[in-house]
Amino acid sequence: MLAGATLFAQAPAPASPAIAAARLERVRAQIFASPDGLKNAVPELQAILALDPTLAEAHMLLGAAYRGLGTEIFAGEAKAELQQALELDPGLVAARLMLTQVYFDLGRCANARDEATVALQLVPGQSQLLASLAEAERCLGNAERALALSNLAIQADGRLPQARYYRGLALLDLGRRDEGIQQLQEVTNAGVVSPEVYLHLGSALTDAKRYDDAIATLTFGAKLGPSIREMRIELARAYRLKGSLVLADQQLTLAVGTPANVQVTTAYQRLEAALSRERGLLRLKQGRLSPAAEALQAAISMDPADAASHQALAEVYLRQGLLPKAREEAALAASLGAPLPESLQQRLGGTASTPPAKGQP
Amino acid sequence: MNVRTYIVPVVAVAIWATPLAGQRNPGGPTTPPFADVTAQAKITFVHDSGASPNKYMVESFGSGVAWIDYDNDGYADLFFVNGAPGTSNALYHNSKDGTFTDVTRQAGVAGNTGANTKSYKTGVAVGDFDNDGFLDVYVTAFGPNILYRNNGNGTFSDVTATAGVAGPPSEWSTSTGFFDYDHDGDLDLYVANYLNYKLTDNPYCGFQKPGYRMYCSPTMFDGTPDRLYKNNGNGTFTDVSKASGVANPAGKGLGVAFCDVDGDGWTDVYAANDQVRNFLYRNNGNGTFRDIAYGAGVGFDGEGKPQAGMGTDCGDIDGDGRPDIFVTNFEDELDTLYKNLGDGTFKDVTAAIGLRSSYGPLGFGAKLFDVDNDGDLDIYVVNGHVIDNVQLYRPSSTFAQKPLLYENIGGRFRDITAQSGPALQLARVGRGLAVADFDNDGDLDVVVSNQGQAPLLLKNQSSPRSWLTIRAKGRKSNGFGLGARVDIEAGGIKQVREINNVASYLSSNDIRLHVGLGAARTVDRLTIVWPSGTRQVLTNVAANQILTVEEP
Repeated sequence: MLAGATLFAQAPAPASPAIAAARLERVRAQIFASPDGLKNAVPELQAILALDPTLAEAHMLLGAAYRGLGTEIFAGEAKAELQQALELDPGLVAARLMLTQVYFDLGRCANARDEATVALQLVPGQSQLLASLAEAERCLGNAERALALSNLAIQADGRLPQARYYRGLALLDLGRRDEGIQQLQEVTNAGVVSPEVYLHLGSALTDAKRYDDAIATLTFGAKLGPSIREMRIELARAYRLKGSLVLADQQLTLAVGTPANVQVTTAYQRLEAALSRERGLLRLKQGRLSPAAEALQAAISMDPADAASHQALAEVYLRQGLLPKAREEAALAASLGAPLPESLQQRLGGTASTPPAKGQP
Repeated sequence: MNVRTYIVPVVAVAIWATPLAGQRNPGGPTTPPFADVTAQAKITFVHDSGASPNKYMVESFGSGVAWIDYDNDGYADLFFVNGAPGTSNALYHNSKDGTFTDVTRQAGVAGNTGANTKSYKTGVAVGDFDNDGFLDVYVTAFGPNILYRNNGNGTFSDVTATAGVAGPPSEWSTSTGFFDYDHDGDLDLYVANYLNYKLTDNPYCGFQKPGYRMYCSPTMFDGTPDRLYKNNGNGTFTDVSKASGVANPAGKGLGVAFCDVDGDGWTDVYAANDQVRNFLYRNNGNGTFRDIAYGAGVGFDGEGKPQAGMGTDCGDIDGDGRPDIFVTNFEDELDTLYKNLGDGTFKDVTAAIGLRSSYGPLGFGAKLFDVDNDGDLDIYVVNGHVIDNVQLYRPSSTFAQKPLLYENIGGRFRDITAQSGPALQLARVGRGLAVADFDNDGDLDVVVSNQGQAPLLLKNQSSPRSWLTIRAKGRKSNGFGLGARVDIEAGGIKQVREINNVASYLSSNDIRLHVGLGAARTVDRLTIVWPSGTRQVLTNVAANQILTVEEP
């Protein structure tokens, strides 16, 4: 040992855990009290953890704060902090619940299901956990089970908006659109201000051809989350279908973004494909066939199974007089469940009748 | 004081006969500091990453390289780790004439049989875990890790099972190193672990069109705790990860560096994590560690953002006697230099001291070492993207990238890559990097492991200056003196170094300590504080020699 040579000799004496605990108490009171509470909490929670890195709740709140910052890299750190919290205190159910949300953000629904399941073993029948498990199941394609679980969550706590929200999504997935819309409207009428709810409700209203309601809903959602690109794309779709093409174009302009990281996530990929498809559909409606073809080709290149884009591209080629290419795209669209309308099929020289379209209009 | 020194004559090179070739001037070096001698050294190894259309993430992180004088002939030999399942590692014996001979088969270190058939091999550590005077090798993997005991006759034995250091077969281990964290005289083993990853859980990332599938972001996956194995002194190890406090499940460890950041005589551990904060485990001196990264300010960049930590090293870059910490990061992130302020905190000084050019490339292996023997630590970084088809997404990015060489000028750095000759202008998919004076000519040479490519052996040809290489022989301390602090006073300059071969990425450096001495012909005072606590002082030590120092 190098006697007397400790370089950190001037370091402040270790603070008492009581000081860290007192500071944590203040953060706990402030973190969810204002829109900036999460962001402002980050340095303070880091400072608290510098004093006492064994405070599980501080790790949990830091995880919540990072998640609130919204970007992918902070999602990773949010997950890391929540996992540290659970390492220190496996019974910290709130951390486990937050971790399920982070997994949803990252599209890791099986992990979310695992966390919710473990948490429910600790707190059987807890409504928020049941709701999260329901959403995990829906995300994994088990909409019936999601519906059953969300019903259980509502039974456990009839006022829980997440349970109703996830129930609404499950209903939409099951094709029970009117019930789904009604369920989501109950959530918004209850005063919930989550942009995601408005996005899904607006999209469902567009599908139901209730364009004015959809536009009102999505416009409010865009106020809540102005940087949410999906909201702009859905608004563009609603405007396009209503015939307000200039307004649709404006929304598409707002929807253009750049990835924060070159490592493209599935969510980003879907978004880019959706943006290209919507742009192609709008250009087709505007009669701008070349840009329409370009955008639809881009959408298809990102998602070759995009039935709606194949269908629209077939129409573009048909209108351009490129019949072989139109037939090729029409066949692909039909194979994906989105045959051309009868009138267009006749102009192509007739194609076999096929099942109803799955793609968006 | 019982001081015993063994003076080993300098081999081969008449240093003072070299007129100032390679000496720096303000316009840049007249002679490139490094020459590519891979081919003339007869190194034919080519790394196989196992790259496949499935884009398994483990294919994209490369494998390391180590300098190891396995036969104690005074010349550093070379060990390359190979990646893809079934491929062979390579051990090259240094023939002392600038060439190497492949002795893998005789040595028995291929690592592609039995339990290791399906492993992707990654990192390497070198140390004498059984204190028999011969350096042993530990190879990490996505799969069981392997401990090779050096039999002392040119062969190695796989003693993993007996030693108990394989780790779970599903674990993805990366950088690793030997150190004596508890000062009991034998070397313990630290193993960084990356992701909780399975080949069967391999999401499709990237656009859904042919050729566009890409390796996923690590954010998609959970981290997994690092491991610390305590050497029981009888050929076995005990996993003390949890008890010692280094088993943080949030870690996504890629790089590991050891140094005594607080000067208390106990080796601390810095773990670079990918896209989550880095850890600084302060050694409490009682068998436990405490992560002080939050308070020390080394977990995030200067703006409080977690970065994609890859390789790391620590060393005193500004001559204040305190080890600073360097970490390489992702593209569009600076490689971070944390200056040790000496009060338990560090400051991110990256941009302020001239490292801005690290923003573009994606850094992996890195080493702080005295390239030109002028008495301070320069920085060499190898770069290469993790996404092989990155140009489809970002035309300005490339998979293969040039390295970076920074010259230390009074604690600030100047990027001299462009003036450093053709060997440094060629883009490669750089991963591991390790340094040693392989030809014992008095300057540190570099080996780089490239992903899916041949390695690069760079001979240092820049130094007309003085130097000293120290081969430590511990008696109470571990046999090679790992963890010893060495203070060198020469020509009015004091340098503080540690004997430590662990740094960079997946790689292991020469176990000897090399120090540049500038114009000094004598080291006035050489002070070694061994891990045992023994303090040893040598005076008036001649420069330009390989000095063997035995612990009193």
